[in-house]
Amino acid sequence: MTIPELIKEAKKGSAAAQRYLFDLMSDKMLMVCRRYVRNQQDAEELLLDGFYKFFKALPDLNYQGDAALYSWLKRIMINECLMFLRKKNAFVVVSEHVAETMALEENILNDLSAAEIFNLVIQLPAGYRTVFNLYVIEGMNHGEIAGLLGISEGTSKSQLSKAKSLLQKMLTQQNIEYVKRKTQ
Amino acid sequence: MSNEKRSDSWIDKLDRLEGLPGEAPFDKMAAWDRLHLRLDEKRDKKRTIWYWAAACLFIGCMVVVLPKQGHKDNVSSPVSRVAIKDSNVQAEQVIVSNRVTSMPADVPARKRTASSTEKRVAVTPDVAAIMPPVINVIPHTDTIQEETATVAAAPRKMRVVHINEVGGDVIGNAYVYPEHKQFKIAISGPAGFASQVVADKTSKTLSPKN
Repeated sequence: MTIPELIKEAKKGSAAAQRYLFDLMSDKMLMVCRRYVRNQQDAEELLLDGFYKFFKALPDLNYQGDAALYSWLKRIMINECLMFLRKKNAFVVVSEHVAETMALEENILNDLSAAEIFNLVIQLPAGYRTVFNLYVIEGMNHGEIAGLLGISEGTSKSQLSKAKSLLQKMLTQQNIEYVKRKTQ
Repeated sequence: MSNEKRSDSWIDKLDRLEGLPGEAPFDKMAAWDRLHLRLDEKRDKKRTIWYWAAACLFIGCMVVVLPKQGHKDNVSSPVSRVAIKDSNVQAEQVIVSNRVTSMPADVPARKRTASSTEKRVAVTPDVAAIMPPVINVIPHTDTIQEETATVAAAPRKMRVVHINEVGGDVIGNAYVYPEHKQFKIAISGPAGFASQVVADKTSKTLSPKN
C-alpha cells in the first residue's frame, strides 16, 4: 500500500491505515521531539500528542506528496514541543546583547555521524537548543523564531550565538578526541 | 523559512536519524495502543454527546406536547367534545344504549350495575377517561334505569383513576384503628396526581375513642 492510499484510508477512519502511518513515521518524529525535549518519556508523550492532532486533522489534508506530508507532521511535532517548553518555562531570558556572529565549523559537523551530532545538540541548554534547532535545522529566520517563542529577535540572535559558541567548544573537544582516536 | 547558512549534508543526516545506537528501540506497539485508546475515547465522547442531545430533544418535545394535550382536555367541555368527536360518542352511545336496552327487565338492579362496571374496567383498566354517554333511551320511571341515565348524563370535572381498598392496621407511621374501613383514593388531573387514604367512619365503624 502506498502512502497516498494509506492517507485515503486513514481519512476514512481506518485504524489499520493509521497504525501503518504511525509505524512508518514515528521513529523519525520521535527523534525530532527528542531534539527539542531531552527527556525520553516527555518526548514520547509529545509524539503521541502530535500524532493525535495529525490524525484529527487528516480529513482536511490535501495530499501533495510525501515530502509535504513529512514536513507537515514535523511541524506539528515541533509545535507540540514548543508548547511544552513554553509551559515549563524552559527558555532562559538573556540580555539582548548580540554577541559577534559565530561561525560554526560545519566541515567538522559533516565528518560526524548523525548520532554524534544529535548527542551534541541535545547537550545544549533548552533555550539555546530550541533556537539552534529552529534556525539552523528547520531554517527559520529570527523574526519567525521570535514570534513562535514569544521573545524578541535580539534574544533569538543572542541565544543562537551562544548556542553556536557552546557547540563549537564541544565540537573542538570532539574533534580533538576524534583526531586522537584516529592517530592512535 | 529561508536560511542561506543551511548545510544540507549534516542536517539531512540528522533528519533521517531514526534511533540512537545502543539505545532500546522505541516500543511502537505500546505507543500505538495508547494513541488508539485516545482516538477511540474521543469517538465515544462524541457518541455520548449525540445521545445526550437526542435525549434532551425528546424531553423538550415531551415538555412542549404534553401540557398542550392536558390543556385541550381541560378547555373542551363534554358537550363540545360530543360535537367534535361525534363518531366516538356515537360508539359509546351504542354501547351504553345496548347495555341498557339489552338488559332484561326482570334482572335485579344490583346485578345490572355490577356488570356494567365490570365491563368498563375491562375496557380501560387503570386510568379511565370516562366520557359521559348521552342516553337517548326513554327510561322506565319505576326502574333503576332512570337513575343510571341521570347520573351518566351529568358532566364530570375530574377523572377517577382508581379506588382500592387498603385495609390493614398501620399506614405509614400512624396507627389506624382496625375497625375503620379504609380506602385509597387517587385522582389525576392536569395539575398532577394525588392520592389519599381515607377512613370510613360511619356509625358502624366508629371506635370507642371517637
